[in-house]
Amino acid sequence: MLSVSKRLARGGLLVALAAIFSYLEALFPLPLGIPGLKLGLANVVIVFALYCYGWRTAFWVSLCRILLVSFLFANLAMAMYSLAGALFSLLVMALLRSCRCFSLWGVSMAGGVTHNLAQLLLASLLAGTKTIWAYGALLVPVGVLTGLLIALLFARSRRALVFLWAAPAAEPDLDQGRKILQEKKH
Amino acid sequence: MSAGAGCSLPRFRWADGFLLLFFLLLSLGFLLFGLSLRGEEGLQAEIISAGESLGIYPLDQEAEILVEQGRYSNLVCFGQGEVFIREADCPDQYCVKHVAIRHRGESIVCLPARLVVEICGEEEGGLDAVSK
Repeated sequence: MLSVSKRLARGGLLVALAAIFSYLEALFPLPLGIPGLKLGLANVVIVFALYCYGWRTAFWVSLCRILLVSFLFANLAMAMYSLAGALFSLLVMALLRSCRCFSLWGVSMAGGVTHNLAQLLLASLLAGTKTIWAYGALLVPVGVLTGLLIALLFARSRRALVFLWAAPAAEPDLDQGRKILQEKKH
Repeated sequence: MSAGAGCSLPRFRWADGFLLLFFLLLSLGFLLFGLSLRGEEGLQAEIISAGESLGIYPLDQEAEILVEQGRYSNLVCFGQGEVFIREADCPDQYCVKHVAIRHRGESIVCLPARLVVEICGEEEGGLDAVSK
Protein backbone atom coordinates (compact mmCIF):
# COMPACT_ATOMS: atom_id res chain seq x y z
CA MET A 1 0.00 0.00 0.00
CA LEU A 2 1.32 3.38 -0.96
CA SER A 3 1.42 6.22 1.52
CA VAL A 4 -1.40 8.76 1.42
CA SER A 5 0.84 11.54 0.16
CA LYS A 6 2.16 9.41 -2.70
CA ARG A 7 -1.32 8.40 -3.78
CA LEU A 8 -2.42 12.03 -3.54
CA ALA A 9 0.48 13.21 -5.69
CA ARG A 10 -0.16 10.47 -8.23
CA GLY A 11 -3.88 11.27 -8.36
CA GLY A 12 -3.09 14.95 -8.82
CA LEU A 13 -0.82 14.17 -11.77
CA LEU A 14 -3.51 12.02 -13.38
CA VAL A 15 -6.21 14.68 -12.89
CA ALA A 16 -3.92 17.36 -14.32
CA LEU A 17 -3.13 15.22 -17.37
CA ALA A 18 -6.81 14.41 -17.96
CA ALA A 19 -7.80 18.08 -17.57
CA ILE A 20 -5.19 19.16 -20.11
CA PHE A 21 -6.51 16.58 -22.58
CA SER A 22 -10.07 17.89 -22.10
CA TYR A 23 -8.87 21.43 -22.60
CA LEU A 24 -7.02 20.55 -25.81
CA GLU A 25 -10.16 18.91 -27.20
CA ALA A 26 -12.23 21.98 -26.37
CA LEU A 27 -9.65 24.13 -28.18
CA PHE A 28 -9.65 22.05 -31.35
CA PRO A 29 -13.14 20.63 -31.98
CA LEU A 30 -13.64 18.13 -34.81
CA PRO A 31 -15.42 19.75 -37.78
CA LEU A 32 -18.05 17.05 -38.35
CA GLY A 33 -21.29 19.04 -38.71
CA ILE A 34 -22.74 17.56 -35.56
CA PRO A 35 -21.11 19.40 -32.67
CA GLY A 36 -20.18 17.62 -29.48
CA LEU A 37 -18.64 14.57 -31.16
CA LYS A 38 -15.15 14.12 -29.84
CA LEU A 39 -12.47 11.55 -29.18
CA GLY A 40 -12.47 11.86 -25.41
CA LEU A 41 -8.69 11.98 -25.00
CA ALA A 42 -9.06 12.31 -21.23
CA ASN A 43 -10.32 8.73 -21.22
CA VAL A 44 -6.80 7.53 -22.02
CA VAL A 45 -5.92 8.67 -18.50
CA ILE A 46 -9.05 7.04 -17.03
CA VAL A 47 -8.32 3.73 -18.76
CA PHE A 48 -4.71 4.00 -17.60
CA ALA A 49 -5.85 4.56 -14.00
CA LEU A 50 -8.30 1.66 -14.27
CA TYR A 51 -5.69 -0.77 -15.62
CA CYS A 52 -2.74 0.24 -13.48
CA TYR A 53 -4.32 1.27 -10.16
CA GLY A 54 -7.87 -0.12 -10.11
CA TRP A 55 -11.35 1.33 -10.40
CA ARG A 56 -11.20 3.39 -7.20
CA THR A 57 -8.41 5.60 -8.51
CA ALA A 58 -10.10 5.78 -11.92
CA PHE A 59 -13.35 6.84 -10.27
CA TRP A 60 -11.81 9.66 -8.24
CA VAL A 61 -9.65 10.91 -11.10
CA SER A 62 -12.69 10.91 -13.39
CA LEU A 63 -14.85 12.76 -10.86
CA CYS A 64 -12.19 15.39 -10.10
CA ARG A 65 -11.43 15.88 -13.79
CA ILE A 66 -15.09 16.52 -14.63
CA LEU A 67 -15.65 18.90 -11.70
CA LEU A 68 -12.48 20.81 -12.53
CA VAL A 69 -13.11 21.09 -16.27
CA SER A 70 -16.82 21.84 -15.88
CA PHE A 71 -16.27 24.67 -13.45
CA LEU A 72 -13.48 26.11 -15.58
CA PHE A 73 -14.85 25.84 -19.10
CA ALA A 74 -18.47 24.61 -19.11
CA ASN A 75 -21.78 24.87 -17.32
CA LEU A 76 -23.84 22.68 -15.02
CA ALA A 77 -25.76 20.95 -17.81
CA MET A 78 -22.51 19.89 -19.45
CA ALA A 79 -21.22 18.66 -16.13
CA MET A 80 -24.30 16.46 -15.69
CA TYR A 81 -23.87 14.91 -19.12
CA SER A 82 -20.16 14.39 -18.58
CA LEU A 83 -20.77 12.78 -15.21
CA ALA A 84 -23.49 10.46 -16.50
CA GLY A 85 -21.32 9.30 -19.40
CA ALA A 86 -18.09 9.00 -17.45
CA LEU A 87 -19.44 7.19 -14.39
CA PHE A 88 -21.63 4.76 -16.33
CA SER A 89 -18.84 3.89 -18.76
CA LEU A 90 -16.38 3.46 -15.89
CA LEU A 91 -18.81 1.07 -14.17
CA VAL A 92 -19.19 -1.00 -17.35
CA MET A 93 -15.44 -1.00 -18.04
CA ALA A 94 -14.63 -2.09 -14.48
CA LEU A 95 -17.19 -4.92 -14.68
CA LEU A 96 -16.01 -6.14 -18.10
CA ARG A 97 -12.39 -5.94 -17.01
CA SER A 98 -13.06 -8.02 -13.90
CA CYS A 99 -14.76 -10.79 -15.88
CA ARG A 100 -11.44 -11.56 -17.59
CA CYS A 101 -12.69 -12.77 -20.97
CA PHE A 102 -12.41 -9.33 -22.60
CA SER A 103 -9.13 -7.73 -23.63
CA LEU A 104 -8.30 -4.04 -23.46
CA TRP A 105 -9.98 -3.64 -26.86
CA GLY A 106 -13.36 -4.91 -25.71
CA VAL A 107 -13.25 -3.04 -22.41
CA SER A 108 -12.39 0.30 -24.00
CA MET A 109 -14.89 -0.23 -26.81
CA ALA A 110 -17.69 -0.90 -24.33
CA GLY A 111 -16.58 2.19 -22.41
CA GLY A 112 -16.89 4.38 -25.51
CA VAL A 113 -20.33 3.03 -26.44
CA THR A 114 -21.82 3.16 -22.95
CA HIS A 115 -20.48 6.68 -22.47
CA ASN A 116 -22.54 7.79 -25.48
CA LEU A 117 -25.58 5.70 -24.55
CA ALA A 118 -25.71 7.13 -21.02
CA GLN A 119 -25.72 10.66 -22.43
CA LEU A 120 -28.39 9.71 -24.93
CA LEU A 121 -30.52 8.25 -22.14
CA LEU A 122 -30.12 11.39 -20.03
CA ALA A 123 -30.95 13.59 -23.03
CA SER A 124 -34.09 11.61 -23.81
CA LEU A 125 -35.18 11.84 -20.16
CA LEU A 126 -34.46 15.56 -19.80
CA ALA A 127 -35.80 16.67 -23.16
CA GLY A 128 -38.81 14.35 -22.92
CA THR A 129 -38.53 12.87 -26.40
CA LYS A 130 -37.95 9.37 -27.71
CA THR A 131 -36.95 10.23 -31.27
CA ILE A 132 -33.54 11.33 -30.01
CA TRP A 133 -32.67 7.60 -29.84
CA ALA A 134 -32.34 7.67 -33.63
CA TYR A 135 -28.94 9.30 -32.96
CA GLY A 136 -27.89 5.96 -31.49
CA ALA A 137 -27.29 4.76 -35.05
CA LEU A 138 -24.48 7.31 -35.22
CA LEU A 139 -23.35 7.35 -31.61
CA VAL A 140 -22.85 3.59 -31.14
CA PRO A 141 -20.37 3.16 -34.04
CA VAL A 142 -18.67 6.40 -33.01
CA GLY A 143 -18.36 4.98 -29.49
CA VAL A 144 -16.80 1.79 -30.88
CA LEU A 145 -14.29 3.78 -32.94
CA THR A 146 -13.30 6.16 -30.14
CA GLY A 147 -13.05 3.25 -27.71
CA LEU A 148 -10.67 1.38 -30.02
CA LEU A 149 -8.59 4.54 -30.58
CA ILE A 150 -8.39 5.16 -26.83
CA ALA A 151 -7.24 1.57 -26.33
CA LEU A 152 -4.57 2.02 -28.99
CA LEU A 153 -3.36 5.30 -27.48
CA PHE A 154 -3.29 3.76 -24.00
CA ALA A 155 -1.37 0.68 -25.11
CA ARG A 156 1.14 2.87 -26.94
CA SER A 157 1.60 5.43 -24.18
CA ARG A 158 1.68 3.05 -21.23
CA ARG A 159 5.45 2.92 -21.29
CA ALA A 160 5.71 6.72 -21.41
CA LEU A 161 3.49 6.96 -18.33
CA VAL A 162 5.39 4.28 -16.45
CA PHE A 163 7.08 6.74 -14.09
CA LEU A 164 3.68 7.12 -12.46
CA TRP A 165 3.32 3.52 -11.44
CA ALA A 166 6.82 2.28 -10.71
CA ALA A 167 6.58 3.61 -7.16
CA PRO A 168 5.53 0.70 -4.86
CA ALA A 169 8.95 -1.01 -4.76
CA ALA A 170 10.51 2.08 -3.16
CA GLU A 171 8.36 1.78 0.00
CA PRO A 172 10.51 0.69 2.97
CA ASP A 173 9.13 -2.28 4.90
CA LEU A 174 9.20 -1.04 8.51
CA ASP A 175 7.87 -4.25 10.10
CA GLN A 176 10.59 -6.30 8.45
CA GLY A 177 13.20 -3.81 9.68
CA ARG A 178 11.96 -4.03 13.29
CA LYS A 179 12.05 -7.83 13.17
CA ILE A 180 15.65 -7.79 11.99
CA LEU A 181 16.59 -5.35 14.75
CA GLN A 182 14.94 -7.49 17.43
CA GLU A 183 16.67 -10.63 16.17
CA LYS A 184 20.01 -8.84 16.41
CA LYS A 185 19.30 -7.81 20.01
CA HIS A 186 18.59 -11.37 21.14
CA MET B 1 1.02 -6.88 -16.33
CA SER B 2 4.62 -5.77 -16.22
CA ALA B 3 6.17 -2.42 -16.99
CA GLY B 4 8.32 -3.85 -19.77
CA ALA B 5 5.30 -4.99 -21.80
CA GLY B 6 4.21 -1.39 -22.34
CA CYS B 7 4.52 -1.20 -26.09
CA SER B 8 3.00 -4.50 -27.21
CA LEU B 9 -0.63 -4.35 -28.24
CA PRO B 10 -3.02 -6.78 -26.55
CA ARG B 11 -4.57 -9.53 -28.66
CA PHE B 12 -8.14 -9.13 -29.87
CA ARG B 13 -10.08 -11.95 -28.18
CA TRP B 14 -13.23 -13.73 -29.24
CA ALA B 15 -15.28 -12.02 -26.52
CA ASP B 16 -14.27 -8.65 -27.98
CA GLY B 17 -15.51 -9.83 -31.36
CA PHE B 18 -18.89 -10.76 -29.90
CA LEU B 19 -19.08 -7.38 -28.21
CA LEU B 20 -18.28 -5.64 -31.50
CA LEU B 21 -20.97 -7.69 -33.26
CA PHE B 22 -23.46 -6.80 -30.53
CA PHE B 23 -22.72 -3.09 -30.89
CA LEU B 24 -23.07 -3.26 -34.67
CA LEU B 25 -26.47 -4.94 -34.30
CA LEU B 26 -27.44 -2.32 -31.73
CA SER B 27 -26.59 0.55 -34.07
CA LEU B 28 -28.46 -1.23 -36.86
CA GLY B 29 -31.48 -1.36 -34.54
CA PHE B 30 -31.20 2.38 -33.87
CA LEU B 31 -30.89 2.96 -37.61
CA LEU B 32 -34.11 1.02 -38.29
CA PHE B 33 -35.81 2.97 -35.50
CA GLY B 34 -34.67 6.23 -37.09
CA LEU B 35 -35.81 5.11 -40.56
CA SER B 36 -39.22 4.09 -39.23
CA LEU B 37 -39.72 7.67 -38.02
CA ARG B 38 -38.78 9.13 -41.38
CA GLY B 39 -41.64 10.33 -43.61
CA GLU B 40 -41.73 11.74 -47.11
CA GLU B 41 -43.98 14.75 -47.72
CA GLY B 42 -45.80 17.36 -45.68
CA LEU B 43 -43.34 17.30 -42.83
CA GLN B 44 -43.72 19.54 -39.83
CA ALA B 45 -41.47 20.48 -36.98
CA GLU B 46 -42.50 20.63 -33.39
CA ILE B 47 -40.88 22.95 -30.87
CA ILE B 48 -40.68 21.42 -27.42
CA SER B 49 -39.45 23.38 -24.44
CA ALA B 50 -38.82 21.57 -21.15
CA GLY B 51 -41.05 18.70 -22.32
CA GLU B 52 -43.99 20.93 -23.31
CA SER B 53 -45.01 21.49 -26.92
CA LEU B 54 -44.97 25.12 -28.03
CA GLY B 55 -46.48 24.44 -31.42
CA ILE B 56 -46.09 22.64 -34.74
CA TYR B 57 -44.97 24.43 -37.90
CA PRO B 58 -44.77 23.26 -41.53
CA LEU B 59 -41.30 23.03 -43.06
CA ASP B 60 -42.29 24.38 -46.48
CA GLN B 61 -43.29 27.84 -45.24
CA GLU B 62 -40.76 30.47 -44.35
CA ALA B 63 -41.03 31.46 -40.71
CA GLU B 64 -38.85 32.61 -37.86
CA ILE B 65 -39.92 31.87 -34.33
CA LEU B 66 -38.22 33.31 -31.29
CA VAL B 67 -38.50 30.94 -28.35
CA GLU B 68 -38.02 32.68 -25.02
CA GLN B 69 -38.71 30.15 -22.30
CA GLY B 70 -36.56 30.02 -19.23
CA ARG B 71 -33.03 31.38 -19.12
CA TYR B 72 -32.07 31.37 -22.80
CA SER B 73 -33.73 32.32 -26.07
CA ASN B 74 -33.38 30.58 -29.44
CA LEU B 75 -34.35 31.83 -32.90
CA VAL B 76 -35.78 28.87 -34.87
CA CYS B 77 -35.92 29.28 -38.66
CA PHE B 78 -38.21 27.28 -40.97
CA GLY B 79 -38.30 27.17 -44.75
CA GLN B 80 -37.41 25.20 -47.91
CA GLY B 81 -38.14 21.90 -46.24
CA GLU B 82 -35.70 22.32 -43.41
CA VAL B 83 -35.33 23.88 -40.01
CA PHE B 84 -32.36 25.20 -38.09
CA ILE B 85 -31.56 27.48 -35.19
CA ARG B 86 -30.13 30.77 -36.43
CA GLU B 87 -29.31 32.48 -33.16
CA ALA B 88 -29.24 31.61 -29.49
CA ASP B 89 -27.73 33.06 -26.36
CA CYS B 90 -27.03 29.72 -24.75
CA PRO B 91 -23.42 29.26 -23.57
CA ASP B 92 -22.35 26.33 -25.74
CA GLN B 93 -23.98 27.37 -29.08
CA TYR B 94 -24.26 23.71 -30.11
CA CYS B 95 -27.80 24.25 -31.38
CA VAL B 96 -26.62 27.04 -33.71
CA LYS B 97 -23.70 25.00 -35.05
CA HIS B 98 -25.93 22.01 -35.75
CA VAL B 99 -26.65 21.35 -39.43
CA ALA B 100 -30.19 22.06 -40.71
CA ILE B 101 -32.53 19.06 -40.36
CA ARG B 102 -35.08 17.89 -42.94
CA HIS B 103 -36.07 14.28 -42.25
CA ARG B 104 -38.65 12.81 -39.91
CA GLY B 105 -37.17 11.83 -36.55
CA GLU B 106 -34.26 14.24 -36.75
CA SER B 107 -33.99 16.82 -34.03
CA ILE B 108 -31.92 19.73 -32.85
CA VAL B 109 -31.48 19.88 -29.11
CA CYS B 110 -30.36 22.86 -27.06
CA LEU B 111 -29.50 21.41 -23.69
CA PRO B 112 -28.96 24.67 -21.77
CA ALA B 113 -32.33 26.03 -22.92
CA ARG B 114 -33.98 22.55 -22.65
CA LEU B 115 -35.31 23.09 -26.16
CA VAL B 116 -35.98 20.42 -28.77
CA VAL B 117 -36.92 21.09 -32.38
CA GLU B 118 -38.13 17.81 -33.78
CA ILE B 119 -39.43 16.84 -37.20
CA CYS B 120 -42.64 14.83 -37.24
CA GLY B 121 -45.23 13.73 -39.80
CA GLU B 122 -48.65 15.26 -40.20
CA GLU B 123 -50.65 12.64 -38.33
CA GLU B 124 -48.26 12.04 -35.50
CA GLY B 125 -47.83 15.70 -34.71
CA GLY B 126 -50.56 15.65 -32.08
CA LEU B 127 -50.52 15.03 -28.40
CA ASP B 128 -49.38 11.42 -28.63
CA ALA B 129 -45.99 12.40 -29.97
CA VAL B 130 -45.28 14.49 -26.90
CA SER B 131 -46.93 12.82 -23.94
CA LYS B 132 -45.21 9.74 -22.64
